[in-house]
Formats: sequence, structure tokens, C-alpha cells
Amino acid sequence: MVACDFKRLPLLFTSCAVLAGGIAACRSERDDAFTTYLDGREANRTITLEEFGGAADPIADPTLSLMLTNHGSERVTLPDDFAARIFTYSAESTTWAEIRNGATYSPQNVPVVLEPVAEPPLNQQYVGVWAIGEDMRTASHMRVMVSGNLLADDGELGEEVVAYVEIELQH
Amino acid sequence: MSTIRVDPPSLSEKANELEQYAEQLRRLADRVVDSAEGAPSFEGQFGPKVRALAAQAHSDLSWRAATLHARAEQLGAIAAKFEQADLESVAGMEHLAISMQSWVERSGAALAGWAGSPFGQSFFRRLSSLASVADRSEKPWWAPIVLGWQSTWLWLDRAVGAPIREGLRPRVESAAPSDPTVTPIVTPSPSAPIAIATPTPQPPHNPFFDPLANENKSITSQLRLAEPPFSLLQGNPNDPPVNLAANKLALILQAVRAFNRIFIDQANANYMASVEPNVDFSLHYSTYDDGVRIPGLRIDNHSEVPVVVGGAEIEQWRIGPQELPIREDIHLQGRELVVQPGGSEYFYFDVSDTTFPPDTRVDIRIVAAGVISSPTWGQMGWSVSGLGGAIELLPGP
Repeated sequence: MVACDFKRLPLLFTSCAVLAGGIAACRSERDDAFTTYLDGREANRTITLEEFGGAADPIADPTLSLMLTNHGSERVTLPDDFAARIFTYSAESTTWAEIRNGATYSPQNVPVVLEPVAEPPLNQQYVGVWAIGEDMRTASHMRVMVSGNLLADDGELGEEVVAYVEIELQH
Repeated sequence: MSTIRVDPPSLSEKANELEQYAEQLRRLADRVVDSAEGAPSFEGQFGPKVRALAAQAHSDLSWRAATLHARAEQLGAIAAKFEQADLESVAGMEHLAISMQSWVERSGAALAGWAGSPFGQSFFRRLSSLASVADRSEKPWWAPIVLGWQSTWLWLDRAVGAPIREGLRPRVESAAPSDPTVTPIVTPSPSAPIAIATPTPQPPHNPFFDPLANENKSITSQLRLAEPPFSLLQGNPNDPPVNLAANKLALILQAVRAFNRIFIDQANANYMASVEPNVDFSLHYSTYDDGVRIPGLRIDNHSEVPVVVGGAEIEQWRIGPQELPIREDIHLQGRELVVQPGGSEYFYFDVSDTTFPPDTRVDIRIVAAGVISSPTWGQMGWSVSGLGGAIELLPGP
């Protein structure tokens, strides 16, 4: 049984609060720096991006396997290259920098359509990227972002939706 | 060149005759209905019965007239076909003759047999019984129509059905002489019939086979896909809400459900482990003097659920100066292919024309899933050497 020392509770709460505040501050710092690239678009709500096939080590192998999922009731269309962009974060300068995606997507000029969430597994799409850049050696985090548009039944494009995934780089 | 053994003008002539008989049938059907409309009602009960019988007869006659018309058009088309080309083989002629005899016999039966068919006999019998009930001393008003109708059927059979049947039967069954008074549709052929060749069994067509390659190879990996047999019933969303606190049975069921939730994944995993691999993914590649080409995959789905191939990733590596692999390029093929249960499909790579040199290594990974209640994507892959060797890659990125 764990003894409960009520005298130490305030110290414990304070420590937790400081730790949570620090984490939030760091997260907010990266998020704040990233808002420029989001440009006011909705992110990680209708579509999400997550690692696929196990945790990756981008330093050793900069090709990442990701799974894109549509959680909405409408179809989502994306360009043939998923409009994929790769960013690295520098903790020193607290800025994100875009690096090159070396993947070639085919067939070209054929949009990718994610079906609604009610039609699994066609509401998901495999996405691969290849991060190329010297910043990978020094960055603390990297983010992969894709973007598309909601697609109405009549083919009209709707709101632009964005998804990104953050991966911590272990040096 | 094949020998034409059917006289096209005779076919056209018979087609015209059939069309004329069809028109006669249509007129007869209309006449039956018109006549029945004016039938007096004997004691208020026979008129409706006569009209009902007439309507039934009209429907049957119209259908037979339409059938005759269709057959006439068919015969005319066959005649035109023979006139246009004589490329049909003797075996094909025999088959055509058998087909013609079959449908002419059916047409003849339509012409001759209606009166003798159960419906026709019933029709006449019922009319006769009506006549006998109505007035035994004198013939009813519609008796001439019925007698004329019967005689028309018999005349049609003699004039059309019998000659055509006689003309065709000897051609198919044996060399028995045909009736010289009947215009033969099929004329004797001086050439001996050519035996129908039995096709030699051929291996399944492989679009990835390149005859110019040094070798055409494939490497196969397997998946097991099946619908998990155990699941938690979610209930009907339209069911009325239940107050669990006030319902002991519902509480017990919830407890059982929670218990099941713990073990259901394990039970499904055990079941999946017992399922034999039922989907084959075969990577095809061809070797050449200057390297290797990888045209695509063949997927054989032996499972009971559709399989979706969600895309492929092809990475080219080159062995560097320090014998370290250096990634040269990566291709992502974002296309979806659905293979139905029991079916086979080919997944074509866009890099099929790319020859990867001997000092390279090509890794191919594909993602696939079964269309089941809770599908999850799985990944499998291969590594192909530019020299022609290939191994299966472990799952993972």
C-alpha cells in the first residue's frame, strides 16, 4: 500500500503543473510556428495522417510509410502527390523549414479520392514520402503534411482539409 | 474456303412465309377477341366466360405471332449472313442446321400444336361443353369460328411446319433421302465433314511474360484474410433507450458484454491463426543482360472476402563505393485494385519499362486489406536484385 503524505501533495501538484506547462509551451511553440503553413485551414479533423507499419527511424531511413484516413462523411480528393510537404523543426531557431520530398507519385495527374468513413478500407490511403535535406541531421522534429478538398457528389470541390503527423527525430 | 450448304434464297423465302403466317395469326387473334365481345350471355353466365377464354386465346396467339415474327427475322438475318460471307466452317454449318431444326420444330409445334396443346384442347372442350349446355339441338353462333380456327391450325402445320421439319431432319440425323416435293433448305455437300478440333489446353495467359527476357520469374507471398467470427452485437440504433440501473437483466448483459470484450480479440486472433493462407501475391519480374524489369503483381484471391490493394511503393537502391546502399528513387503508386473472392487480377507497375541495372536493388512494398467488418491494412514486400535474385521482405516500413 502506498502511504499518502498530504504535506507533499502541494509540491507534487506544483511539479506536475510546471511539467505540463513546459510541455504545453514546447508544443505550442512548434504549433505556433507551424500556423503559417496551415494558413487557417482545418487540420487533423476530417482527415488524419499517422505512421504506418511500425515506428520509423527517419534518420536511418528517411522514407516514411504513412496512412491517410478520412473520418468524414464526404469524399476527399487529393492531388496525385497528395500535396505532400515535409518540414523539419529547429529547436534553436524555433522555426520550421521545408525540405524536399523525393518521392515520385504515379499515375501522374490522377487525383486520389478517399471514400467516406462508412466505406472502409477505401476511406484510407497509403502515403509514402522520402525526406531529403541536411536539416534532418540537426532537427528535433519533422512533420509531414498533406492537403485536399472535400468532394461533393456532383463533383464540386469544397472546403480544403489538411492533415499532418509529427515525428520526433532521435539523434 | 468453306462450302455453303444452305440455300440463302430458300431461307429468305421461308422467312417471308413465316412473316405472313405471323400476320395471319395476329389478325386471327384480333378476330377472336372481336367475336367474343359480341357473345350473348346465356342466362347471364356464358358471356363473361367466353370473353375470358377469348382474352386468354388472344394473349397466347399474340405471343406466338410475335415469336413467329422474331423467328422470321432471325431466318432472314441468317440468310443475309450466308449471302455475305461463306467463311463458316462445315462444323459450324452442322451446328447451324441443328439449331435451325430445333427452332423450326418449335415453330412448327407452335403452328400445329396449339390446337392440340393442353390449352388449345381445353379451350375447344370448354367451348363445346358450353355449346352443349346452351343448346343441344343447334350449333352455337361461334361454332364456325372454332371450326375454322382448327382447320387453320392444321393447314398451317401441313403447309409450313411439316415441310420445314422434313427438309431439315435428313441433313442432321442421317443420309436418308428427303421428300422430293419439298424445297430443301440444306443442299448436300460434296466435301467430307471436317472434324471439330479439340483445343489443346493452354497455360493461363500471363501478361507479364516477356519472350525476349532471359528469364521470367515470380516470387509469391501469401496472406490470410477472413471475416472474424466473433463480434459484439451493437444493437439497433433505433431501439428505445434502456435504463440500465433499473433493469437487472440489462446490467447482467452489460457485464457479460464487458467480459466478452476482453477475450473477443484473442478469440479472433486464434481463429485467424488457424486459417490457411488464402491470398497469393506473386511479384513478376524479368531478367535481361542489362538488368531487371518488374512489370507488376498477380493477385489470386482464394478467400471469401474481397481484397483491396491500396498501392505500391518501389524503391531503387544502388550499391555505393563503400558497398552501402544509397537510395536512388522512390515511386509511389496510388491506385486501388479490388480483387473479388475467387478472382485473380493483375496490378501493373508504371515502372514496367524501367530496367534496373545489375548493381541495384529494388524493394517493392504493397499494402492490402480485406473488405471485412473492421478492415486493417497490411504490408508485404520483396527485394529484387538487379542480377535476378529475389527475397521476401519482413513486414514493416
